[in-house]
Amino acid sequence: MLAVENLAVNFGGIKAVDGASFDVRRGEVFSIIGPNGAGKTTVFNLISRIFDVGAGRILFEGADITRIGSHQVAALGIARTFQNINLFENGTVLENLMLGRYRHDRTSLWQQILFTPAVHREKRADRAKVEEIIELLELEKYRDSRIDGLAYGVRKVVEIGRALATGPKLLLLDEPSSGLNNEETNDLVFWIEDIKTDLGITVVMIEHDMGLVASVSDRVLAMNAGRVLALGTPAEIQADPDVIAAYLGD
Amino acid sequence: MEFVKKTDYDYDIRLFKDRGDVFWYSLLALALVVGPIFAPPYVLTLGVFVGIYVIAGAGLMLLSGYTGQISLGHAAFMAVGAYSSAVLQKWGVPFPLALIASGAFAAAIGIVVGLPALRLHGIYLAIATLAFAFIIEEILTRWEVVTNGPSGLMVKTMSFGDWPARTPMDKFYVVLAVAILAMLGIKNLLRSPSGLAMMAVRDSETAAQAMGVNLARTKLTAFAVSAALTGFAGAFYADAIRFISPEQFTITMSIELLVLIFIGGIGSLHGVVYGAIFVVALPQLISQIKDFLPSFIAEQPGLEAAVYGFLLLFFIIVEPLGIYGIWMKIKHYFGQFPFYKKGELKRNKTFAKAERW
Amino acid sequence: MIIFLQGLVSGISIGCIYALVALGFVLIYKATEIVNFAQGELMMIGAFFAFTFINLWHLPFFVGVPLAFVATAIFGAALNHFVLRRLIGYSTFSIVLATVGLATLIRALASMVPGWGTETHTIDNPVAGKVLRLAGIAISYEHISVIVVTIVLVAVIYLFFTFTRIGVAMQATAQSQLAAGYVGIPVRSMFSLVWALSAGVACIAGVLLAPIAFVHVNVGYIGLKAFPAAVLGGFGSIPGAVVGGIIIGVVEELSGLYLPPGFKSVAAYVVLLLVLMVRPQGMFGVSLKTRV
Repeated sequence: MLAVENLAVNFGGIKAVDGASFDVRRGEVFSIIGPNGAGKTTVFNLISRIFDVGAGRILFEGADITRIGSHQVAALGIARTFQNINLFENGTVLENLMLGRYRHDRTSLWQQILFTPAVHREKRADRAKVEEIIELLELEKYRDSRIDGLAYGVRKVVEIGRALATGPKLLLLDEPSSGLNNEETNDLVFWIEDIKTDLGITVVMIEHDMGLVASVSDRVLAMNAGRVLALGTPAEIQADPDVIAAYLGD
Repeated sequence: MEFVKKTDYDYDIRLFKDRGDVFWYSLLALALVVGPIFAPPYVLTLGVFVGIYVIAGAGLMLLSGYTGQISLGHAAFMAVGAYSSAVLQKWGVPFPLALIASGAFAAAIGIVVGLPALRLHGIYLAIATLAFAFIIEEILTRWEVVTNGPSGLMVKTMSFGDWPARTPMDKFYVVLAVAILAMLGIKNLLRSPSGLAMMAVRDSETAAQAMGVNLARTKLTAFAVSAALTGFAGAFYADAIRFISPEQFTITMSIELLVLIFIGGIGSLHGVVYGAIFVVALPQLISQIKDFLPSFIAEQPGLEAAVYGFLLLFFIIVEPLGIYGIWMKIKHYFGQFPFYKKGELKRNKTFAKAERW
Repeated sequence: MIIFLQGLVSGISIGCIYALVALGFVLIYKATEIVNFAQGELMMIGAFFAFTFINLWHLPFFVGVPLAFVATAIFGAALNHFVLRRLIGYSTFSIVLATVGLATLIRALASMVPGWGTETHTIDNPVAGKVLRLAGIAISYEHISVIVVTIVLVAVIYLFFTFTRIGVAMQATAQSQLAAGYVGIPVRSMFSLVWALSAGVACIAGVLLAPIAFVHVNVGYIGLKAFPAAVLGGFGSIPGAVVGGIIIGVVEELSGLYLPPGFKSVAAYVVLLLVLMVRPQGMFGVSLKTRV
């Protein structure tokens, strides 16, 4: 579904990503692990087109998306969460989630200024979809809370919810469990499984929590210094000597 | 205490939430329609200016308050609107058309200003808007063939077909109608996808793009709509003061508009109304109080400006949510009564992310 | 040719004044991230202090000016202590509006001071009217003194920042308030010091400006030209502010000489917009990216 070929990018002399290639199959949960600075988030930023690619290609469902604009990624069905949480602080949880539906809205500016029945219908439809996500992630009691008053764990969940609201085919999760306690991480395991089986969404996840990685992933990619170290099932990766040397320790 | 039991999604989508809302707004509408019949012309003229500032303020609030694009030179759009209307009417164009053209020209200028602004943020954006305002003001001064330059331009009274809106009461109703339409339009925009997109652009451009928001289109739309509204206000302003010259649309007016949206309450449309009333009423209040002040203070020409500057600072430091914020706090207190706990509404110390480490 | 050279000299001279205002502005921005829209008003107050000491109290020029420098510095520090300190951490918008409000307030209060009022004043200075003739051009001593004073002042400030303990401490505070605090630098005092220094520099700018634009409560508006200068030089760069100011001054003067009327007033702003579109970080600024 997603193919990355010889991807590379430099930031002022530092090779953040240096010839990475991998592919992600439809319907799988694909994890990317590696030490800090390995280039994992940079790969995400390249896929979601926040950074420009230096060399290589990115293919999504057969189409070359290497040079598209970053606002065109959502329309293709790719959604992501951010490592440092990038919610709309001045809005409520509901408003953040509703914004996730933006790419589905088709009404024009004039229709919206006049708030025609078409706009009304669209809003109701969006709200219905968003409520499904609220139910899945158990965010009911936070609907009308402003983001800037919420606890970190809740914010992470809202981030995931907002990404789901875009109705993606591919979901990129950047360190979803960082900052979460054990109970919240367990919830995450269930949610990722639901996302995969019930919603049929392909998941690519950057993670440091090997327990989480092992329990949900179909395949794991290990990166270091911008390059791919190894690719395989969680068991294979955990046994790979290069990976152990670079990252997992003895 | 107020409990809201929502039974369908429309509750959140609707403009008037419940019976209570409908009641109060109807009362307000009644007052605004019937009141002018009994009001003295002096008050009505003030009302016209409040209406003008509400329209302009709504424009600025959309751009700076909701889309986060600081505009330090908004008076330039007032000027474009005022001059478009005055010049077109001079050339025989009927007012309704001239009004629409004013909005259109202002919107076009808004896009011209917005284009380079797409890549600018924060203080750079603010300074760029200021620079544009100076340049537009200079162009209006020098383009004497059309604008009559520094000598200024007399403005024809606005008329709709055969009916001239000559008296303060006539003008008030016209401006009131347009102001209400403007506020409704903006309110609609804000509860639809484009409005949400604008707020998203304000809060996080990266996340907005990740949701599919086209930054350029959203920002330019905000600039255009904002400028158009301010242009309309400019056209009415020209009509109200009967004579315009470039030096009326300086940075002082831009600051007035900024003060309007800030003191009214940034991020709330009600704030625009409060702010407009504040900006128009303050000079009047000061001249009333002058009689009670010792003469050496009362006679100072800088008194008004001093009060202005002081109040602005006061609000920023003490109540950054403006008059709307104060009103919300009062409502909250009475809503919670007698369970209000001291410190409930104390503002949390926020630390803005430093731009550099 | 002669006209060009005279224009050049005038341009450099007014440019030096812009440079000094921009310098004060950038000093404050570097240290506190506050964009000070009241910088021009500090210049105005400085000029008025000098006017009071020299013209009203009849102190000699070279006593009155240092005294005005100190008075303005104290004024600047007081502003920081009582007002600006409370704004740290607020949004850009709030800070911009706050300094604008401050500027309005200062302007209004200045017009109420007995002896200042709303009239235009001058400052008696020892080089008034004297002219130097060099290779056919007439250069007024006032222009020369502006350029010389600016060079000396910038040099002194450079030496101060590079070689004195306090100067280095101020640089540290500008780069990271947190780290500076941890190593024992009294950050709050540093802020007041920066404001004092910046205000003092503004005072000198005001005194130098007096022969050209006189002393009047609205003189602060000229300070708005500090923004194009600071942006051109690269916001946050002190040498940039100086070079930027001089370039703006020269472009302005030459526009007045060679372009149709009206271009002179907007020249600075046209330069500003061009810089923002082509190279937003200015000549010496560094472009920063935030991590996502």
